[in-house]
Amino acid sequence: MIRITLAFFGLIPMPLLGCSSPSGIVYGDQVLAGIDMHLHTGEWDKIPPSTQNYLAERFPFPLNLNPEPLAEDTLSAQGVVDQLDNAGLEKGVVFAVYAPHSVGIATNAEVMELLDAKPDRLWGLASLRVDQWNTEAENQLNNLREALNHPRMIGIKLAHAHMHIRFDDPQYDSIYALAGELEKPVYLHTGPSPFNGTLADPPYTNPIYLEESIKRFPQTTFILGHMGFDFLNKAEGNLEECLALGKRYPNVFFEPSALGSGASDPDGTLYTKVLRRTKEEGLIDRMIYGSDGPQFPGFLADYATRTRDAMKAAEYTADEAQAVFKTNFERVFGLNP
Amino acid sequence: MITCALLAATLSAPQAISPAPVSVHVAAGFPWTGIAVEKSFASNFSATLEAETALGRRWESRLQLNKDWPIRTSWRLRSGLGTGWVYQSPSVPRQGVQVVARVEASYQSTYSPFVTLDYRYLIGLRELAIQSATGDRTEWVTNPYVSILGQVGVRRAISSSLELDLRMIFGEIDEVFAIPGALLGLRWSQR
Repeated sequence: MIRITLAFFGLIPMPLLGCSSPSGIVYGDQVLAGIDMHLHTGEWDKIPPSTQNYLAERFPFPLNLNPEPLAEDTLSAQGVVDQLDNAGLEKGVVFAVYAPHSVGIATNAEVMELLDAKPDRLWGLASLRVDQWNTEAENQLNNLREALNHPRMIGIKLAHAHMHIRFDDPQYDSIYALAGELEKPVYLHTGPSPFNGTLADPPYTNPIYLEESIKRFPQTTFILGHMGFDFLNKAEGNLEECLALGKRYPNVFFEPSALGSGASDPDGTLYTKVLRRTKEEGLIDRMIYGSDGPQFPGFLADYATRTRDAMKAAEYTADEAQAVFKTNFERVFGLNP
Repeated sequence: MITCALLAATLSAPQAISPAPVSVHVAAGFPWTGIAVEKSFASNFSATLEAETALGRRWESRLQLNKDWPIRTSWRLRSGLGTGWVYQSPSVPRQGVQVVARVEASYQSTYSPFVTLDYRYLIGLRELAIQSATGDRTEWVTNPYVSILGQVGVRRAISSSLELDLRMIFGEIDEVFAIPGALLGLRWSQR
């Protein structure tokens, strides 16, 4: 029954919104290929209750009364691929997460299970624990290095606000150094998060505090997730700081996930502004598409549609849209076919 | 189904409206299951005590006062206003007082089609635990949630005191889209 329900809700946006097809994203008279670089997996039981509640509230009634089966199904390898298909996206990148204070834990091993189950469709970003860094740093870095040996683990995921570490704390430089050594880009959550248990003060959310590390590690690629969006106040947050860092450093990239969702930006105004400012600054070649899904069935398709619409409103050409949806990702992660 | 019922209704002789002194209605389906006891009074007034649950995880109970408005021989309009308690757990916790306004239109015949519209306003109560420098305390906060539900269905008497009904339910619960539901019901009326 869950499968039927997923298909039912997942397919709704396609004919209604006319954005995605099984083979791509319709943009004017062209069909674009797309890759979603921000997807999640995990086990319901490992998510803290407040976050379970936050997620369950997004499910339709009465699935929100018993969200675990639907969530587990949506977060499985097949569930993620079903959502990619529904959105007309070719491939996706699944994140490992170590955020016991907020959204919970999705281990590197769990992500690798997904990658092995769908090796033609999924890549992964590995992560590490930092909550006992004084004594565990070496072990954690070794574990991270080992996870990155997996052929489809292509980068590192960090979320300073969730992990309670400052952007300007040099004791975590060893992570950036490892990323540079292995040529694996680092994705970092930026901007205040809506989840309980996260820290919203600027040193944890404003990427300008990361500038010294960006300077110290020019060989490391930094991807600023959510482009500094303020999810607490549903405002652009640190967008200008992100763009300024992009202008100053060639190893800085952006990812605009979640900020353009129906919950964060109902009429698309903020998303359009983010995309327009990126274009005005000549930084489209630094932007990589991601959604922050699957969240709930149909979210990936909805976000791709919203992105397409915001790109049109920001007057992106088809080539520019294609760069954001796919080719920038392939270039940054060294996955050119 | 509704079209068939309407067609059957036009071919059937109209029946006079004769509310029973007491009736009991039980219904089961997806996702709702419920029971309602109704007591009629003079001047087309009645009171209904209802209890229903969605999958055993959301519980609603209410006491409702109804007024019937006969329109010609076969048509009936019913309006109702009620209040009750909602409890929902565990994944999306809710509890609080709910106010319900209901309007129902029905055609009395062998197959009686009906349409019902519910507006439910829940004053959700939530207990907050606050840790501060001056000590820990708890506070109750309220959050409003609106549910709008439409029902379409058909009733069919199977004896002088029993009636079957089949209905579909559409709408939103607590401002969240609700997957359409279906219910099969049985009403016993005192004669």
